[in-house]
Amino acid sequence: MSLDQLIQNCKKNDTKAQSELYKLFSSKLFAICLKYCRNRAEAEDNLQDSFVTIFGKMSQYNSRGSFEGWLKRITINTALQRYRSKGVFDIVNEEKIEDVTIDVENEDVSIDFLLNSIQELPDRYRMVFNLYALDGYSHKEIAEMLSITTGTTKSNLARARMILKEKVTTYKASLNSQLS
Amino acid sequence: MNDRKHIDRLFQEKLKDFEATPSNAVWENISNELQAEKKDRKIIPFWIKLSGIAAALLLLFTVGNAVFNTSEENPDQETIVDTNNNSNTDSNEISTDNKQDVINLNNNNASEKEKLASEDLEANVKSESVDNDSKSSALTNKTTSDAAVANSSNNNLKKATSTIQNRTTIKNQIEVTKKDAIAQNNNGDNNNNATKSSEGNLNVVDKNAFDTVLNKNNTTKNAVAVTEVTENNTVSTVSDETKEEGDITKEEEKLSIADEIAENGLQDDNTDEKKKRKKIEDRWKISPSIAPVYFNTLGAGSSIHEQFNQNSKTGDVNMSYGVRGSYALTEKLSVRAGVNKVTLGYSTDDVFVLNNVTATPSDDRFLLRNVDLKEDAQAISFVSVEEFNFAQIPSVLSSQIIGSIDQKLGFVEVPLELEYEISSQKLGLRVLGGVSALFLNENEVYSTLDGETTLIGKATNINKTSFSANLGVGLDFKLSEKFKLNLEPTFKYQLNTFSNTSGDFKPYFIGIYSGFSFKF
Repeated sequence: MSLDQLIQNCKKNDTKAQSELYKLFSSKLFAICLKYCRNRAEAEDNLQDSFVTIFGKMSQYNSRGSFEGWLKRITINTALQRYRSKGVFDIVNEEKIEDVTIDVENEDVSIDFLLNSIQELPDRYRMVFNLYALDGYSHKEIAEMLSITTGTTKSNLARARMILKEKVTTYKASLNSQLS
Repeated sequence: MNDRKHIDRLFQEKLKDFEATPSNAVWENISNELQAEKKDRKIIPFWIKLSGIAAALLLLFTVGNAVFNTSEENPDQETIVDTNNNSNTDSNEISTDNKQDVINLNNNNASEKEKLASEDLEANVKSESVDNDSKSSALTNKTTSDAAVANSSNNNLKKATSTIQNRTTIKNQIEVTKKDAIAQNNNGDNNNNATKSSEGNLNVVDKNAFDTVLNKNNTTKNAVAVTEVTENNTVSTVSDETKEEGDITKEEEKLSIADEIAENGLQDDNTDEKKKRKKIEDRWKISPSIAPVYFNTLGAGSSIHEQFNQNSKTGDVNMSYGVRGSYALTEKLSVRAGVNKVTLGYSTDDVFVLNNVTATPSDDRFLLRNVDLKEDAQAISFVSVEEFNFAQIPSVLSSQIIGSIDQKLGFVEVPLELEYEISSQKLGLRVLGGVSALFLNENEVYSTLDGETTLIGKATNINKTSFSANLGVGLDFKLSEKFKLNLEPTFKYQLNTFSNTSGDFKPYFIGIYSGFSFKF
């Protein structure tokens, strides 16, 4: 069955098609949930809510845009919604940490570690870092999505980068000490 | 290999093609929620459908009642017409029955009212409990399958308690409305008693009392319907409020799915928003139409004068055109209204048209009772051929003195109809029914003699505002999703267009309405 056909059937609330669609996209969308949520349990909760929204709004999907993009947007929105009310205190001197670079060897950090690092970020930092660094949204777009100013998103991003750098550095240090 | 790279790049590269498999419990939860939603969805259209039908019936009843009342007023003023005799005997019958009967009648009405009200309430409560059941079963489903995820089961409990709270407020409200309804009934009873006691022995008063009881019945029904509607509204607002409270006080708490959907829709997805609006707008349909209409009477009678009762009548075919809009209440049922310009006409044949007869018979048999003659037509006399023995007239003369009286009427028609779709294939089929209000805007009477038509005056017995009952079938040919060609043969029975008619004059018109419709 083609994707278009599958979408059509999902619009008719066909249970089989819905199950099919879930199988097709759940792992990709779950990856997004893991990045945007604090832990696996919340990510699964978020995935569940996202799919319920997706199936509920299925009839509103027009075939013009990318379907996967649409699914991702809903998933991200669901996560943003989840942590929207979280306030994060953020005054940070941005210029000092404008260029956060780090020494890395290609294979020496695991995905699990990176994911954990992201998950451990304060909610707003995590949102902004994900949106900007991983999903390519602009500061202006992020500011609108989170109802904050671009100044805030920029400082949130800088703060997130700083925290992540610290985590990666300590991780590598502990790794090296274990090896030696 | 050591190189310095931006921290963003590190994460980007590693997480680019990252995928992860969620636990199986997630899909189970989703499918449970979807099933619960399906049940909810089924309940909502059922209510919309029901309230739509109720509203339509109410409307028909009120309009019908108005028509009934006005059409009765006219014969009351009359002394000659046949129908009047009937209505007189009717009221006589009522009056000859002794007072006891009238009292019984009133009591019956009152108890019927009570029954109606309580039935409504019962129906309400029942459907509510059904709703409740389906929800709670869905919830239990969820809790069992959610056992794995501790968080979400907690949430479900919270949801459940909030719904229980909602239920109790609803029940309270129902009790209040019940009390109201009873109070209203009592009021109604008191009023009835009052009218009963002040009732004289006059027939007319008896009749009026009967009418007022009928009317009261209507108003109480209205009141009940209204309270039902408001109740529904308050229910939804109450649930909204509780949701919002939860939102504010427990920030940790998971927002309800419905909220998320709503807020998501509001916030970020502009395209979705547009789509949503489009979906609602698709309920509207506009259809210009044009129709040949044929006018005639069902029984032998005349709207002009009783001497023409037996004359043959020829219906004219005129044009009607207009536009209407319709709004879909459900997929199948829609309500529609519009404006049509319609012209109707018919000829009374076999009439002697006697020009400039000085010795005009003063006998009122030969006057056109219901026509206000123009000044220059005062001298013309019209006599039905039926009044003479045909053999006496030389055939040469006949074509020059035997003509017809043509009546021409124009109306602005405002139809209010319900249509129900039977089939929505490429070739669709609908049935429709409703009422039209007819506003008179053209009223002329002509005489036709030897091919020559002269305006002689206007009819005096046509109501400025009248009604018709409409019944029709609609055929559609679907050109695209939005664009259809329509053909609607419709029969319209005129209820009170003419007053003071003679014989069995039952006017109607048939229109074959053709046009197109456009959904938006």
